[in-house]
Amino acid sequence: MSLISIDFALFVCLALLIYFAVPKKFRWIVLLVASYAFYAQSGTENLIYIAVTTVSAYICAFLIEKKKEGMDAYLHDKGADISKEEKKAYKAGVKKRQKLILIAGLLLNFGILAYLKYANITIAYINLFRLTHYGRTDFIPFRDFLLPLGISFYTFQTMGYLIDIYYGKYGRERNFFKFALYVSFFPQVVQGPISRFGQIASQLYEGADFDFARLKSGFYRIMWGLFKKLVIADRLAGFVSETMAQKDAYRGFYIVIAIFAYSMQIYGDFSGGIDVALGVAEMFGIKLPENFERPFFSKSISEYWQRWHITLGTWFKDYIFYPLSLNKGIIKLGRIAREQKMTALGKRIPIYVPMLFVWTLTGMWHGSESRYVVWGLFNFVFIVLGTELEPLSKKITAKLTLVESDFVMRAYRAGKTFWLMSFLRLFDINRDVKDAFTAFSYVFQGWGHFDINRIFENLSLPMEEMIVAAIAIVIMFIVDLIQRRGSVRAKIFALPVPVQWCFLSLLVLAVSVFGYYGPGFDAASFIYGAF
Amino acid sequence: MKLKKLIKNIITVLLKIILIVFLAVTLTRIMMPKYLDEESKDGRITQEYYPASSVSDVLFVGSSVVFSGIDPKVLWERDGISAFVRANASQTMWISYYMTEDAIKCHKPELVCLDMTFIKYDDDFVEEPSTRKSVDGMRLSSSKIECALASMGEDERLVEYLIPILRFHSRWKEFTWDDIRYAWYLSPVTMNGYIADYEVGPAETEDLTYAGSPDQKISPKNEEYLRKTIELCADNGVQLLLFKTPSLSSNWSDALDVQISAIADEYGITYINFDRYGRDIGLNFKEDTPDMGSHLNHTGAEKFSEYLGDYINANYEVSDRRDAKKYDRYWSKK
Amino acid sequence: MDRIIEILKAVHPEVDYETETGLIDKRIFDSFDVVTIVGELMDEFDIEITAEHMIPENFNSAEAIAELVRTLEEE
Repeated sequence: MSLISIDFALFVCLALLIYFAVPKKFRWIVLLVASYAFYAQSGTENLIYIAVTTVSAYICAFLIEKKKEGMDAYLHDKGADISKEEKKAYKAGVKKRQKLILIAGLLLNFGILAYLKYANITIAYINLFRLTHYGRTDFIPFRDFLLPLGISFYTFQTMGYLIDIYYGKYGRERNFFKFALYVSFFPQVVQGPISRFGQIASQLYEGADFDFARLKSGFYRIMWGLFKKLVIADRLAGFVSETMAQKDAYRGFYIVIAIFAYSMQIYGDFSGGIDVALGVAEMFGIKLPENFERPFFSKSISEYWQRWHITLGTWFKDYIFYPLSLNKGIIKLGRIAREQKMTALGKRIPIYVPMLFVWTLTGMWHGSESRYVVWGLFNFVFIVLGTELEPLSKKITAKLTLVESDFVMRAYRAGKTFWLMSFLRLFDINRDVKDAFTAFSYVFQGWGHFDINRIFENLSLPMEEMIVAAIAIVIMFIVDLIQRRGSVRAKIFALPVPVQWCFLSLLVLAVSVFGYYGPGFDAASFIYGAF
Repeated sequence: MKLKKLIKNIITVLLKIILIVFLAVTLTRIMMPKYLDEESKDGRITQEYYPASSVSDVLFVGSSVVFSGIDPKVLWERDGISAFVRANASQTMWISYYMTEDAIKCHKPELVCLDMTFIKYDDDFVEEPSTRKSVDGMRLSSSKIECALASMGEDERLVEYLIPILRFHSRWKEFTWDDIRYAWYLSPVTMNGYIADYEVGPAETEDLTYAGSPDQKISPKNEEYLRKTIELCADNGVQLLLFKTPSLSSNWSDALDVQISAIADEYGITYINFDRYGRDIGLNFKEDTPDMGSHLNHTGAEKFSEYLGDYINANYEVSDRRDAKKYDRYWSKK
Repeated sequence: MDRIIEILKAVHPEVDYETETGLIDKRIFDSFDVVTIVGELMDEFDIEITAEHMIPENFNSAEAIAELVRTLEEE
């Protein structure tokens, strides 16, 4: 069941009804049942995977905490009888055992994820290798499975929890079923946001009081998400894929428009879906972490990545980047470099080495094909260039007597970031790396032949659809602009009631009428002349 | 004071709900097709029945051959029979059943005449536009829902029938002012369900030869709904005539006639295939058809309606309403 | 405390570290800055900062950083 469907809307209504009908202390159980019902909808066999993750993480967290409790009791018993050195050595020993448990948990869960995600692509590469090098045609058959719903998301979320338990950031959840709810909470299990246990646990378990204002606020957010997804993203999808499929015939400005359209599509699709998830969670009184913060207004790529898919970025930062950059080996490497009078390099090693790793993984996370790794590495290179060239760019700005905070400069930087990120998305919408580069080269060809009618007539974007998409994008842009100065909903709720009604009616009208869904209407098929 | 406030609150909430429903229904009605052009006018028949239901003693139920072949005005003027045609293009046997059920709930007719032409199709016959025309015009009732469920194709969903905007929203592209003007009301565009066709498309031959296979069987779903309709009428004390509107289309077989007759005999009712009475009716397929014999045009419909009026008067108990004020008022406006 | 502020100033001279309490939350420091600062702190105070200390609350203000350093020095 997609988050964007009538079924899901009915499902949420039903869940809300039951949620508020039962006493407060049982409300989390409603969420758990709803989450498993939702998950089972995607195929009951998928339940095995999420169950394995839940059980294994629960057991690992239990063992890690038990080791700590044992340690605390031991140290307490010994009291002053134990020297500081002995204490330290004992602690290190416990930590080591805890680490082994953690690693076991991580290996199992990421192993499952990696196997499901990369088994077939690995088989494909092996087959290709054997064919080209040994001419063998006895291909290894592909594994027949589909990725379980949201496995990348719940695996990351749950492993983040386990690492936090290992660090001792908070105590583990002792109630297995409550923990199962954290892993499977239905609005976020499909596509995130990846939340942290500390952020949402108490909200999940305590149960919310009925609050009409919150329901209304959640409803607005859902409708806005639907607007971005149905009016913008889904309308542009056909145009983007067709242009890329026929890129030989459509070069130059067509490609640029398609790249722009894809940026709007992916933003509308992903952030719209997240809006729905957050809006639904809000109705249940749960505030999930934000995943987008007007990313297209970012002035650098590193800033962009703090504002786009935020929860994934912070996950990689907290669980990969920091641990690696604080890794003893890496720190040592940095020190050696500095001792060799390579201060600049020494400073950069603890940053760039982990970052290279993070971006390779981020690429792999987005997809199993090699083009995604290339995409990740491009991001890495751009960020490094951005950081390294910053002093130079500041100098130039100063020379030209421009001011960084000027509107023009800000717009220039935001525009540059937007287009760099947009061009990188060519890896996303082309079959392979080579195709993406071909598409990029087409950007610089055939500008003289542009004819907008070809888009209307041949590329699944008739004029009236394009107009609707353009207006909707402008609305989205304006709303994002207003959002810079605080919550748009708060502003709407401060208006007189009739004006609020107008806003909501227009939003519902826009989604229901201009949403791009359903079979379409072909007046000719309603003519009985063809009986 | 407290009670007063509570009452006030309840009234505000109710008013809000009414307003929301009103806006939503209006928007839906704006987005729905109006079926104003000549070729899709049959889409209006279903809804035009309701204001006429209280003066509809005889119902003709079936597919396009019925709405183009039977003119209730002829029946009224000649025989004082007040009839309505509940038909749509490609109206299946199951839709006809629910049409009948829905009509009986509104106003019990004296006689239902059910056309058999569509019984020849298979159970998986689905024509979405036709289902939409039939079901969208129906009042909300169990008949409507069951009718949609019985008729939907694989990629259709009940919710699209309950909230038609989900199906028709993309009509914004062909939006005209008529969509707003006629959102809530449009005076009837058919003659009690009859749509006159003045075209003439002569048939090549006047000979009736069926091309259907001699061992053609009525499929289970068709038979099921035929029996359901028969039982429905019997249970409600409504007379029922099974018939086949005259047509020169060869797409039929004697085997079907035999099977229908057998079922009709089982229940003690009549089945009559008017294909075989062309000469008696006076039909001339050089003039009386717009499409080489498949359907009747206006002249054909006049002849058939006269013949049918006589047949009904001779075989069924149907009131002559020419002296009844209510009926007179209704028909004098037609 | 002064040594800490010195380290911080080297990274972002424009910030008033006496009063600022949102170094991470307001995105004044990005992860590069944090890693640089942590490296300096470890060298300067001879302490070991590990990933488990990398939470926003420990780096939001100069005061919080000083507190973290104090705790780690005691261990």
